[in-house]
Amino acid sequence: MKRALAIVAALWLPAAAGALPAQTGAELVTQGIAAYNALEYDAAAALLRRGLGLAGPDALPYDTRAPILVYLGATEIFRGQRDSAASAFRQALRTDPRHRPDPLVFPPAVANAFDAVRRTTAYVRVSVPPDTSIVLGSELYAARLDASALHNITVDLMRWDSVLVRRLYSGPIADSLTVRWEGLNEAGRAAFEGQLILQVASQNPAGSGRRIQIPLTTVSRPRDPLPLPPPPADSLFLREREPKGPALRALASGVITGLAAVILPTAITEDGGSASTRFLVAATATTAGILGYVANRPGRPIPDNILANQLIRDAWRREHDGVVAENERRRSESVLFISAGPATAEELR
Amino acid sequence: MSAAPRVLVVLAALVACATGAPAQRYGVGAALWGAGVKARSVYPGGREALSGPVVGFDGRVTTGRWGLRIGYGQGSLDPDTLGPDPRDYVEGYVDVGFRPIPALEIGLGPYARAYISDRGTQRWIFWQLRARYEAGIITPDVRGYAEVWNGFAGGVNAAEPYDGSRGGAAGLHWRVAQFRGAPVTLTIGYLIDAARAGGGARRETVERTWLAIGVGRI
Repeated sequence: MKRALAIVAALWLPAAAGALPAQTGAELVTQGIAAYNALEYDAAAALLRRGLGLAGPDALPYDTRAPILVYLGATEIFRGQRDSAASAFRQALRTDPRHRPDPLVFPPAVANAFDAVRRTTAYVRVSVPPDTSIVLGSELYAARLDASALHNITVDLMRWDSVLVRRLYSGPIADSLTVRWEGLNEAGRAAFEGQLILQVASQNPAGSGRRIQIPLTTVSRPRDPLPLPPPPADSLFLREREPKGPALRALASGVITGLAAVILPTAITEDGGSASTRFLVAATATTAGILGYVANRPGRPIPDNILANQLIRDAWRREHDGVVAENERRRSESVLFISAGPATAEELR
Repeated sequence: MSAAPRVLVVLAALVACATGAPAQRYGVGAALWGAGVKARSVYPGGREALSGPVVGFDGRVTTGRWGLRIGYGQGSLDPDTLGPDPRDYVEGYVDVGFRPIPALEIGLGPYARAYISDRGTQRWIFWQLRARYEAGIITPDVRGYAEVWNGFAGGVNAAEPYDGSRGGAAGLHWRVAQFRGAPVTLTIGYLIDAARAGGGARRETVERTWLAIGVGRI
């Protein structure tokens, strides 16, 4: 009775879909998984297929389909549809070659069936950065390959006219592999510029194969030079020669002090002064003023400031020369900009 | 205790403070000086002039912009003219100063001077308002200074009433060494002070040229 109801529901659902509000792929899959857990495999198969089959804005994202396909395969196993199950598992592996059934969710029968299918597949997922750049001679362009099972692959870079530019790898792949390209052309001396195809050809044990092609567009440019450091601001430099001010202030201070000693008696009392020793004080102060002027004479170099300024200039010169040398090195280097297009897969018989 | 040992004891105490004081909180300085003093008196009925050596000390404590100065000097004056008797000379002062700017100090305080002879003691006391300006000549070791003051109040134990006094000084400080972190300074200076009493009938003029050695900030 229960099975009959499920069949009715499965048949009724497509017909009712037109009368019901549109359901998204995610909603259908959720219902399908609930039906699977309720052992309603026919309904589950119908719902999962509908969810996976939706296109447009309600469709499931590609990279989320593998676990749903495993649910579908498991459902088909319990429905006794071994071929349909194998087909679902193959689609799951094509979507994500490294996906495996969760042993906490699925019984060993499902895992065993999945493994049996996986061993005869030869699916590879190729991951490359959509836009990147490499410095020729020092950096490499990397493509990561994830395989569903151990098999042989060949990774080639080809022109659009199918002329081989570089074979990057040929041999077995078990789990994952990273292949690298230095960005050079066939001769291995200059950057390759233009349109390329990164081709990964898989061959499974049964003899059939699969080919994935990713178009690459490459443009080579010299490396951008670094900006030269600006010269140190004038405000950073100290005065290297004595200005007039300190010298004149020293002279004025000495002379005024000496004059004060001489004229104080006249300014203070009408009797005047009688101590001739004040002239000694005046002479000493005036002499000190003259010495102060000489010590601070205008234009006299200030060694400490000259040294400090030289250190600033030397530091800037070192930085400047370093940038010039780096730019000289960069002029001899090229950067290869690589843009990857969408991957296409082709089954080989 | 006679005058010279008293001066030395006070000076030693001030030097000890000057070298041991924390630099950031307050400053202490002390100086010992020797001077040649010329004193001229004009009074009703005559005039006289005396001169002689005087020794003394100055001490100073500063904190922030404020400072306290004290000084004492003592010596003997001999007559340069016929008539007067030799006499002892004593002077002392206390002064509280404020620096509105680092180079300028305004001070206020009492200044006392006494002439002691067999015929008695003549005492002068003045309340002086003082302004002192210092400037570097050979930075930072040699500084010059000039100072003027006015004795706006005072008294004298003479028949004539006190009229007033004024004076001035100029000189050089030369930092010659360091003693336990405190500068050792040589000072040469000239000072003149003129006091009047009795509407100018009595005039007292003292000139002092001195050489001092000090420790700390004087």
